[in-house]
Amino acid sequence: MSNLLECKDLTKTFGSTIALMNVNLEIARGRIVGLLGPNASGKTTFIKLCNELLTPTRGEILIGGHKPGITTKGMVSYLPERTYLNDWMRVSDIIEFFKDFYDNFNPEKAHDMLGKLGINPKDRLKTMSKGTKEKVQLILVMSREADLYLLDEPIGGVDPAARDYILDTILSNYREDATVIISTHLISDIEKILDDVIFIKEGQVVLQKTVDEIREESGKSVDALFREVFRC
Amino acid sequence: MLGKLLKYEAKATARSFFPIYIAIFLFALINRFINPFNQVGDSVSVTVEGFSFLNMMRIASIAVYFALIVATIAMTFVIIIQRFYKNLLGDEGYLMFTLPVKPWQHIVSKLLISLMWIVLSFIVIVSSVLVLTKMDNLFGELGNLIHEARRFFGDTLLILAPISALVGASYFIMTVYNALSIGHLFNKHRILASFVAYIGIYMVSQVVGTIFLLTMGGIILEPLSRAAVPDPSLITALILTIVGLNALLGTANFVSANIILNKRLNLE
Repeated sequence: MSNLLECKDLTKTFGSTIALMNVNLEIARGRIVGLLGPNASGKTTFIKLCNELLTPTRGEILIGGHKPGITTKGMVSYLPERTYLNDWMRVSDIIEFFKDFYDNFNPEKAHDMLGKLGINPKDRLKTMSKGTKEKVQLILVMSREADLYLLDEPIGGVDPAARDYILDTILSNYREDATVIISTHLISDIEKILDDVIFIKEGQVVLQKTVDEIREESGKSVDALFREVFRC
Repeated sequence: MLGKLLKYEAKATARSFFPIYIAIFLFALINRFINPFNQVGDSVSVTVEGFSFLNMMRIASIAVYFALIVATIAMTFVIIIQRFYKNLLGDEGYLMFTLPVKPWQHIVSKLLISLMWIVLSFIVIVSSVLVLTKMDNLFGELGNLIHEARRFFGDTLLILAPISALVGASYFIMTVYNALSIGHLFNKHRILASFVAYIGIYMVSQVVGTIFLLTMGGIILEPLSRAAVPDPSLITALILTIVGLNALLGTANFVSANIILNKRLNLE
């Protein structure tokens, strides 16, 4: 099967700061990939490049064979590491918004998940706590039947109980031939759901392996290997 | 997709405009019935008994009415800036720029809805004056004015007036959008940078405009300055030149903002 995501010599600099340097990656369909690295290692830059929120300085990204643009935006469901919802809308308004703009958005799925979490679709976003907003955002993102899910720090801001719910939500809501890329530095929490891991350090990919390979070769957990690779 | 963007842009801004439009009409009506101009403006009535409760109400309601008009104009201006800055270049940009939509469609949708509110605000303010005053009389006066203008300038100019106003407004809005786009390229002090960018664009536009008018408009300006009674066709030509210039500068700002949003997007 052809790769869903490919990067060739992907480089991004901000002035004299190098955010990503000659990144070459191939990610297949149907995988859950952990994009792991310490803060400021280039994880968010990579995800933003995939979403055309940044333009590469050099090199290219192909998603399903297309450069980032209108076609890939229809295929990619993106959860940024910040809240992008305006506060004057009701949850039901934002669901309408997603339905209008994304062909692959499934409103029933969204309403179902909202119900399970006890979030009233008639509530205004203004009245919600930051954690609830993050949950709404994740529900919106996972209610799209996308080819690629790019989740930037999806569990960073929520309590451990909600973390489990979020991971379950991710696991039970992506299509089999879709790929999920999760960026985080909270490895132990997500290790159990990952198929592949990518270690990224100072803008460069230092390791790309399956979780099974890591366990067989080093006999370590991903978390332990991470601590070793990124020892300060 | 442009249609959907227009729909949401209109929805997002309507909730700010409609309440103030309703308030303007409400206060125009109140003022019409308690008729403050006759009383407040009449020096005879400003006696000791003139400062009654009713008189104070009259002064207060007319003050509120004018404050609302000023607020409408200020709000139109603020929302033009805020919608572009917050919805596209702020956190909401993470959603807007990951929609399957081209950046130019975002710019055009914001521009068109801004123009719509400028026109609506104008209509609301003018018609609230009609409500406030004796309507039939004012319509008559307006009719006379239009008649006189037609007699002097001809029909062409009358059609040209709203077009030149719309082009002028679009040019201004695009300058603001371009300045905000340039400002967002900076990592710090983005609002200050946008402000400086606006002044920079303004200065460049002035230079370009002067050169343009001196070369292209020389043919028009020279006979116009010599004529004792200006020929309407010369005035038409001058306005057309200015409309053309504004359209040109507006397009330049659009192209610049579009390139930045396409290739240099740098959300915080």
